[in-house]
Amino acid sequence: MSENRRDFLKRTALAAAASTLPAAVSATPAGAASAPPTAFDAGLLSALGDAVLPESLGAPSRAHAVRDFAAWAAAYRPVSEEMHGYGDQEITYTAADPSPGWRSQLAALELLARRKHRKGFATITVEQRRALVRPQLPRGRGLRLSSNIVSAPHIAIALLAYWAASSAATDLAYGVVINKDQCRVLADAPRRPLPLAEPRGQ
Amino acid sequence: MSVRVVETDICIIGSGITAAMMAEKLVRERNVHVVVIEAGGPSGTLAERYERRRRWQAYGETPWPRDHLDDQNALGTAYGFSPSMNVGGLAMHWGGVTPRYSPEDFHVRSLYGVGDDWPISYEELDPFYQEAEERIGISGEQGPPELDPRGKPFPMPALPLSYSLQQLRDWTAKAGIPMWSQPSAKNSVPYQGRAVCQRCDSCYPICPTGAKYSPDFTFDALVRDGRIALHTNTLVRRLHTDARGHITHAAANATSGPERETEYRAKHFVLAAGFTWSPHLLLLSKSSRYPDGLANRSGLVGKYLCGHRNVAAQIRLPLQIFPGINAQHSLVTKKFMRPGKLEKYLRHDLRVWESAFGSEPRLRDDKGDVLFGDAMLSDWRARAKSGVARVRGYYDVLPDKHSELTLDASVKNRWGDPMPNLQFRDAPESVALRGHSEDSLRALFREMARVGDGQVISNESSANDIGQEHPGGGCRMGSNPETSVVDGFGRAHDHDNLIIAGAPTNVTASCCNGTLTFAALGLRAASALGDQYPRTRDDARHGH
Repeated sequence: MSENRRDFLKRTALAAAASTLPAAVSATPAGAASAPPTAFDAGLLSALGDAVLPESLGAPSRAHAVRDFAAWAAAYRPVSEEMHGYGDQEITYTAADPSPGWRSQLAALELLARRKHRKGFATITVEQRRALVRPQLPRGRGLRLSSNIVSAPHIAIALLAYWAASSAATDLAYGVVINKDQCRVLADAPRRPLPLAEPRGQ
Repeated sequence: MSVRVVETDICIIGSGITAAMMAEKLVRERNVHVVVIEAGGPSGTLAERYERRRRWQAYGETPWPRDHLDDQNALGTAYGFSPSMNVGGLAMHWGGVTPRYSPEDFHVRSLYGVGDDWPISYEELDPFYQEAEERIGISGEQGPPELDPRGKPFPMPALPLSYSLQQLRDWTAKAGIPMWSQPSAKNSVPYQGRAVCQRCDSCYPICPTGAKYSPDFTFDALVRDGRIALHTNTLVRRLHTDARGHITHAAANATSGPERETEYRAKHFVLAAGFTWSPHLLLLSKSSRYPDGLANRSGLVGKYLCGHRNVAAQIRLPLQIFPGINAQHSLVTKKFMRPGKLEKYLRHDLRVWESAFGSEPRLRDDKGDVLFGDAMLSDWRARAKSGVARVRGYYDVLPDKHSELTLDASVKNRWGDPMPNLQFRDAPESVALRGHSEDSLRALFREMARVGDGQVISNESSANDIGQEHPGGGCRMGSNPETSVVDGFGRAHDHDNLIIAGAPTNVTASCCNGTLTFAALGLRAASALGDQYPRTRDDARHGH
């Protein structure tokens, strides 16, 4: 099944929901640029980021992505009026804050690591962390990462989907500088996007 | 409670794009006092838009909060309707897509033996299309003249085709389909003090730079210059007449703040409240003299609601497409809107966009294995290597008489007024043609895929029974008062000083976006209305 116009418009809105990492950075409280907000256990979230985000990003970029995700989650406002765009007469509101549930999933991963490995989640290997996370995830063939991050059933998916929805991730996937969802010079539109300045994650 | 009385020459009810065009034309060209009444509040400032866009992108929050009244909404098959009530109306979050209808749209009965003809021709509307394009600011490319007739050039050069769209245009040319840049209300160059488009790609729902036209710009300028009075948070609930059927006043209530009633007395009343609220107000305004509501001698107020449906597909192609360069811009053709002689009626537009469909990042691969880290990125890269085109055709749907708006007493607003219930229904001829229309479009998409060595990877049609896209009608125009509500200038057959403007006057909804046509119809109505008032000195000096 493809999507109709209503679904497309909703999807593009939600796809944009995490598409601008710089925007999320700006949501980080002043003075907190080097440390994630305290909504999540920073060490656990960082360990999860190292397990699910691309290794080839490198540790600094993964840490940056994790901080952005935490800042994004911290600035979430439940029950805010949602876009009632074309064709939608119903007024809808954003969902409940997903962070408490995600926090408890993170805590559960820590408990599980201690139960299975007698070590904290952050101190076991990346492969061991992945092995603990995998059973928590929905099953299915060819499952897409939903761009509706708030509804992610597990924090591992939320973190991965948040990064994947970013402009930077899209550029990595296509190997060129598209800068999607950023305001850009109109006259550049006809040109083939430039290759990424340096090969990352090849 | 005392009733405030406001007197003016022309009272415009509604502040959407049609109202903006009409108000601007009337006060710039004529010595006339105009009051515009809007049920909602102001729509916010340009300076607020970046932050509003940021919250929308990050969380899906509306960039136009509280742009509606909680107790003023439509029921029924209302897809295509939006409850937006604020200065600028629904055009605060339109996509800025501005095709014209084609000449055939105005003569489908004469040419194809289906539906009904309009009382006006494309040629008669052409100057008002041009005027709307100049007032709004449209960037466009002249298509092949035989497909895309127009009297004068677009006011701005076309938005440039992105790298992706250029490749897709080459592909459609191979399939024998000439396509060009979709005309858009987005500045390709600085225009009327507004910025050039910066490809922010959030045209729908919010343009942070102001490069996309929205009616608040017009109203802000008119209010700043003291050319109109704009009364916000004021809902007109009834129109009243004298014994001759002359509209004497509009009765309104404040929608926020202290309870307040206002009586607007005017020489002329312009109802520019869209396809839902315009017939709704006429039906609400029934009286002993007009038991079926105003302007309703024909019994057609609220009838012949029109719109169209679409068939869409995603086509994978051996092309390098980079989704996100300018995703809201598309290619368009009118080749199928001007089909010549037909055995079976089918007219549709065709658009092509870049797409990321089927190339999105995945959590699990085809075997069901979880994709973490570089495995996820590799999987994404592999699937992003081929390109995807999103294609869609809107096809003309002819309205049934009982495609209608009625008053639904089961839901009322705070004053006890019943809300509108919309029920879109195809005319029997369109019911019979639906399968043919949708099969033909799918066959076209398959052929386009074949020519490009590609593959249709997804098909979609508009859902049944939820409404129709780009709706209009409800006060349709015509020459015969027995079969129409207004004439070709939007003048109500039954009332000498009532003009109904824009979307509700549509006879049919063509097979493309209607906003530019609504604006052009409004300007044509304003032209005739303006003739009853003296020219401004500036306008007379320019020889108009």
